[in-house]
Amino acid sequence: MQSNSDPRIINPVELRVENISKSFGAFKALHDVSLTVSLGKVTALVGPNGAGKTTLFHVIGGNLAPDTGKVILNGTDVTGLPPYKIARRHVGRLFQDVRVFPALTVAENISVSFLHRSDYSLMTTIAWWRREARERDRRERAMKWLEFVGLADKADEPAGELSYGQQKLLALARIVALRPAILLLDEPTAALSPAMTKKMVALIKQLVAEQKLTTALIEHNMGVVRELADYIYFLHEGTVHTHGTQKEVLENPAVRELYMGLSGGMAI
Amino acid sequence: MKLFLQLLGNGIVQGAVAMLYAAGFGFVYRSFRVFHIAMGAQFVFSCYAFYLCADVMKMPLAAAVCGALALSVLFALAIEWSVYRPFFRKGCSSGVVMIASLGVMIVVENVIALAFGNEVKTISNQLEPSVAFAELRFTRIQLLQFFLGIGVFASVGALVRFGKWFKAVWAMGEEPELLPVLGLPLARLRLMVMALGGVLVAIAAMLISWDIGMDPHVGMHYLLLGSVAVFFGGNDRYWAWGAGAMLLSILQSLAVWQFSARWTDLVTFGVLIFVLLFRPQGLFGVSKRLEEAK
Repeated sequence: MQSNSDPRIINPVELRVENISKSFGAFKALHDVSLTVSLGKVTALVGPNGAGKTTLFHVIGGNLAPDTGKVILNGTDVTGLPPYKIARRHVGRLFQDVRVFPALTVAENISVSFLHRSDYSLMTTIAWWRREARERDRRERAMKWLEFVGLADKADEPAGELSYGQQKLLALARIVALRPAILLLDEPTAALSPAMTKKMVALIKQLVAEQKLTTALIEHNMGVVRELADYIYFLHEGTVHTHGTQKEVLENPAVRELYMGLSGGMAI
Repeated sequence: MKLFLQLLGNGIVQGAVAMLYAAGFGFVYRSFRVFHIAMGAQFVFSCYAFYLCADVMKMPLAAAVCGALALSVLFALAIEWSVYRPFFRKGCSSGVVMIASLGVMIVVENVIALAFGNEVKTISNQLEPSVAFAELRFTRIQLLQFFLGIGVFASVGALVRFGKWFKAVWAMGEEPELLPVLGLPLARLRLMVMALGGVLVAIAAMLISWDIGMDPHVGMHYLLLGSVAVFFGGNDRYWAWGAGAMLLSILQSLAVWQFSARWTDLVTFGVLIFVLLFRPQGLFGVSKRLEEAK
């Protein structure tokens, strides 16, 4: 695990989206959405299915171009950049569904995160006399992140052989191996067992605390939101309905009614 | 015994070339998950590009080879730009892309037949000098086919093993949408795969057409052999494609020894069906969990 004094850690950056709108035909998936994901904080996006949360992640990540509006990373407009250029600006994204390279080993899955770096240039590829040292270095770096998520003993197994929960941990390790400054986590605990959910939450907490990662989190599990979120945006039908602290949002009667179908003083 | 050894030797020579077009098919199939029927079109196009440069334009051999290679790579890139990429971006199923790929094959075959005619064309009309090894004889082109085939296949194999982008290409076949999230340019990687496939198929096409000539309809034959070799060996391993191609070519050659040239396809496809029934991952492939065997 890298410490905060590690010079390779990227300084935390702020993420802002300004007046983003996105339609698919007549359907308005996002309408004039503006929000800020603050430096080194966890900002949760909550809301019912179809509220536009994942669409907003697609727009931030470059998978979808917005109809209007801007995505600003640390003061720079990155709207419309392709996904790989967004990723190279230290934005790491964890998908809702688990995605690993099943035929590659667990360690190789991590190594794919190192490929776009200059230490894997044509010259270093040709330099066969340094290959062993280079491979050892990559392996060590991969192992560090596998140890962090508790998968070091599975390093040489095909990733497809891991359980669903382990694959989700591997996906997290692969994203943090990119050395992101911003994490976009789309339902990191979806379909996980209670024990695995607890582990995932603890890992995210540790990452955010130790590396001051700016984190946007989509989550339906309110227990996880309460554990992690510093600030919450409630999205409804493609717009930001309410935002504020946990107390301000989760105890808002309108949110309780719209999202959880609760009314009055029922606890969530 | 002499006939057996000669046919075995011929099979090995054919196998060395087959490794190239099998790899040309395998790269696209493994990375794009598309049954790359247009590889047959690439093969025919490369044959006629070589014929155009060497015979029609009377270019020196080295220049004709370079010209044909360049045209073949451009053709491969054109397939990606005009057919595969638009379908991929629209999220079409691999079946739809396969039909489009078949369309490319049919169009190219017919355009070439219109332009050059249906009859067989040859590049070299001279009697090839041969070299004797004990009681076996090989022509100069056969020797070139063997050494170039093995050399190119092994060189690309080293790139696959150690090259940065080939690790990404291998990962692309598993989860293409994940690569951009890891900072890797998917569109450029796809172009690289097509260009490499184009080069491999073009080298094989030139070696074969120089030896036995060409007609506009040879593409399907080599497409079938290349694809069968990939499935026979195991589509998840580069070296398995080569091993599959070599074994198939030897089997085909030896089928002539025991039966006749008419039965080579029966032997080949019979063995393929047998292998796939009892080892669906191919002879040298890796078995997968049911959930990931998609």
